[in-house]
Amino acid sequence: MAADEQLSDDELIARIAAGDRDAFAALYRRRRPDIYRFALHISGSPAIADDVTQDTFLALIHDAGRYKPDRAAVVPWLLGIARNHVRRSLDRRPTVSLPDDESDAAHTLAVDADPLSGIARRQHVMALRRAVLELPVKYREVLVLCDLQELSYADAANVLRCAVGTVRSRLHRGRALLASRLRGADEALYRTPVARWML
Amino acid sequence: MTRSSGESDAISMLRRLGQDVEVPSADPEAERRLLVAFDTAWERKRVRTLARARLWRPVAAAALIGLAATVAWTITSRSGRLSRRAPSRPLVTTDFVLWPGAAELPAFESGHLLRMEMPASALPSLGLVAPSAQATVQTDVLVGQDGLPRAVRLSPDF
Repeated sequence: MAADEQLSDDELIARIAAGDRDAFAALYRRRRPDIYRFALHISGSPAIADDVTQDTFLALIHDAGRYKPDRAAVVPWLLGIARNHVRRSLDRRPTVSLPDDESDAAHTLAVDADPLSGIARRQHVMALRRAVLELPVKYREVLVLCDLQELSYADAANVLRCAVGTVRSRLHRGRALLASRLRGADEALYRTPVARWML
Repeated sequence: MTRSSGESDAISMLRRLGQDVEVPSADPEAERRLLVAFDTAWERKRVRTLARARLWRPVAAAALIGLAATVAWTITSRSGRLSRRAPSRPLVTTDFVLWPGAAELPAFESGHLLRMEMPASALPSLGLVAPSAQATVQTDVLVGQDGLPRAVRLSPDF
């Protein structure tokens, strides 16, 4: 098992395709956070993110033999599988469950040494999350892959099965949309009672 | 494609958001379920492979037997053809022996070699021994320029 931790993703996939259970467990532990983060950013729902992570690794059990190292790296390939599952989940549950900022704020107040700046920061993060989740899925996907997951354009194109040029243009448009939404969100944030008190 | 300041802000905020997400620690139960699914899938694959092998084994055996039979038949028929071409009688030949009375004939200058069937019973009188109990044997008779026999031998193709 410890030896599996030293292997590259490609080697682990090859072993999984040959029925190596330990290699599967090693890849799951290594790559689960990547899949979870991606699914969470796209869906906005921890429950969907959990399900998608599980479904992606279930698919890997059957499809490991189909992985072609010359076409894409392991992470983009897994994210491609995850993307399909997220889309299916969103089709079934189109409403995105946004985080409950009231309870988060209360939690922060109890532990933060500088509660007011903490609240403001968290509200800013919430606003950003909302803005990302309100983007059309095609822009959201490319922003999550390139800016949040920090994949290269080529890897993102592999995940989305589109041309690199499409990734670039969607990214440009998505960032512009996000910036305009955030400007609106910032104005709204400064109208909240906490922010007014701080200012 | 140049970036506006708003776009650059969006990128830096997104990077922060990417780092901000806390991934819950792995649920051991979820991992156990996946490993069970892995074992089950591979067990099924093994069973399917075995079943496929069981299905194909008789077919492969039949094909192998067929192939062996074809090869054997080809070899047999070839050797059969060869054996048919070979003489069925033993390959016996002799040197020429003087035909009885030929010593008194004029000297041999030129002539012909005639291949002919001869009664086996005539051979002893010519000084030859019949190689098998056949009624006739094939012989080469050397006939001189005068048409009289000078020598005889059992044919090499006998």
